[in-house]
Amino acid sequence: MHIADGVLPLSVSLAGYALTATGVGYSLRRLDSADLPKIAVVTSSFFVASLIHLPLGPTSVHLLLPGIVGALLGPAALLSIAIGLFLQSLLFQFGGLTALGANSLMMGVPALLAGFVFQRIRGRTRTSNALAGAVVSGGGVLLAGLLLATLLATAGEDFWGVAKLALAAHVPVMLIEGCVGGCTIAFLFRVKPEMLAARSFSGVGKKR
Amino acid sequence: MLRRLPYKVVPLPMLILLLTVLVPLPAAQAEEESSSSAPPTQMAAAGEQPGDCQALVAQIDEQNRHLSQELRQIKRELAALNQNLDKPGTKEAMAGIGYILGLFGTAALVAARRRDRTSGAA
Repeated sequence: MHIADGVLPLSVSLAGYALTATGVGYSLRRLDSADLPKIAVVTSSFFVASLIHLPLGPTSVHLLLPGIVGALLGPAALLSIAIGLFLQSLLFQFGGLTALGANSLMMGVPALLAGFVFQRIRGRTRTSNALAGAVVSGGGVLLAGLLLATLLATAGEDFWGVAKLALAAHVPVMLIEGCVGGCTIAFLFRVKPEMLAARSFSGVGKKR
Repeated sequence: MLRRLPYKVVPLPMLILLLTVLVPLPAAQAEEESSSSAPPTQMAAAGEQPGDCQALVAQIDEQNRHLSQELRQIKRELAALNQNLDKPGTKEAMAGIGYILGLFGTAALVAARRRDRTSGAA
């Protein structure tokens, strides 16, 4: 799920860049230097996840991971995703540099929302955490698909046709990603629960 | 009458002679695949030549088909190879992870220095 070079009109690309820059600035302001190693590891996972193709019917799909990135990083998710996508477009030729802003937005907004929602619904038990992780991971993919369709609609594509296509292609991804997200969160909850600790979105709490 | 008699009789032995000499030739020719000495056989074994030619053409056709099939296969392999060359592999993934860790390592270094400086000043 990447938008290639030259698909989007110039204004949309620029708007994507502007919004992404704002979001990354917000991420940087909320950044706690003690979180840097965690962000690095999550960014690496996000970066590599798109290489692992699972054969599925006639095509193959790969994990997108916006939900887990958001749940683990909170407000720093957009920074992580922008860096990951930038390196993906440089090294893997996924998407293009001109569409980088729009691509970051497409993955970053679901990640931020996922992080926000996850902290609200995760509860205190392992089961509820795992369920919240699964819901947030699946919902992240769904939202990313919707955003993709919206962005493509600005390029003049038939909105509902593309949206249906993107969502149909990502239904299996949503299911797989929900499982992966639930398992990951459950594992982390048992092994290293502090990794799931809330990161303040407002910036009142954690800033030193 | 006297003139026409030898004319009628003589070609028959000549034809037989020619045939005995030339009939083994096409068999050898077919193996050599050379059609340069066609004129003598054309004269002698006019009835045999079309079939021989057809066999040759069929053989060439067969070869052509075989070769084009192989060529198609090679082209397909080439396309697959090109696609694989475009596809990122372990090397790119490792490079990316290195970039990310290096970037965040530098950020951590800068953050730590800044914190040291501010705590040292305070």
